[in-house]
Amino acid sequence: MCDMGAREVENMTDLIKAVRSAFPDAVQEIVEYRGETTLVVGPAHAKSILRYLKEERGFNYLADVSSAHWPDEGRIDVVYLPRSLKTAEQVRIRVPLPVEDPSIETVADIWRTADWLEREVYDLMGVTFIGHPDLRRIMLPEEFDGHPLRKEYPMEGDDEWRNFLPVKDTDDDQL
Amino acid sequence: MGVDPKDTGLDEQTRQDLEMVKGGVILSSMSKIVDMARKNSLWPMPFGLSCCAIEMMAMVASRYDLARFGAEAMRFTPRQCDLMIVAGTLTRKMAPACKRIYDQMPEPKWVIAMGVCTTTGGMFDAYSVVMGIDHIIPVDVYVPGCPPRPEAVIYSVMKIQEQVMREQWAPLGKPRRHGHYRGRDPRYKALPLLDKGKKIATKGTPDDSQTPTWRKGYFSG
Repeated sequence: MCDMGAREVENMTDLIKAVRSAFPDAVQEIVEYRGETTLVVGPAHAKSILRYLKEERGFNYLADVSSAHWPDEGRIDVVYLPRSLKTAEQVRIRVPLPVEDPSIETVADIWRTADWLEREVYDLMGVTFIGHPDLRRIMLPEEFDGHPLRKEYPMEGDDEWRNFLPVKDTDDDQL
Repeated sequence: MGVDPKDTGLDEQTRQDLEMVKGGVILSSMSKIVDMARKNSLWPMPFGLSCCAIEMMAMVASRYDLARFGAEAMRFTPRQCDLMIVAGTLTRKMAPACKRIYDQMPEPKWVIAMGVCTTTGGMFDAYSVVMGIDHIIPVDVYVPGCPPRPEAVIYSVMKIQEQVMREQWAPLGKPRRHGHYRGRDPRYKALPLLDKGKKIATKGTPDDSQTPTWRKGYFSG
């Protein structure tokens, strides 16, 4: 996507216009960087915009759901990467959520693949996806305490072993 | 031009010793003999945890051939080994197993930390990785590299051999000089404990008064 041809630029401009007209004042910001387009969308409109992209614009593949924690700004971004396998278009939808209550509606009913992708975001970042069919940890064990990709998760110090078995000297009967 | 053996300046005892050497006898101290025997028959315990293990296998295989140094007999039980080669990223979940296997090896034992992950955690500054196995077990030789080349690991085995020669075995066994054991860094004691079972704090920046000085600025950078 680094070298966007004229047709792609036209398509992307067309897409932004279409989203803008279908959802007036839903798009907070548009970031263009190295031929990649990011739409910053409020959480209230995110699901309807993603559904519009899938059903009206042919974004039939959700490449990834990702997230980022910005402790200074006090927000957690959830990032969707829908992609069209027909036209090879890709757009990035970034949804800022407040860190106090990071919850957003699930898109697992739009793309089935979002089921596991959202479970990963829930597992590592602690974002709640409302209406998700099976919101459990996907990689870490059930009893794991905390969400390790949050910046406040302790990586060093006395608490670094909080979710792991302590390393002790081996008992004599096991030597 | 022949030299008269009586003119070598050696005393009678030394000349007799030299005659014995000619007959295939070597005189040495017992500790040196034992150290030499140990040095040339190291039995490594491969503790392969990730990609470093592949280089370790290459080191043992025919091209690099660790057998030249008498250490080709890899055993997969710690009870038959005296050299532990920890090759790869040690995760916190694996750490108790690593410690137990080290404890189960009979004395004397040596440890090679192979690769940067094993040495310091390497590129994994993560919640799940031990920042160097010397927090868990003592280490004799560190091998840098990601992964190190087989020659580098062979060199580390030779360094272990040098160390074995310095052991100075004694019949009743004085305690041997142990490798570098870092243990827990006292600098890290100050971090406040989170309550177990309590949901992790969801506020943005942690309370500044509770942040230890060495962590300040962590969130702003």
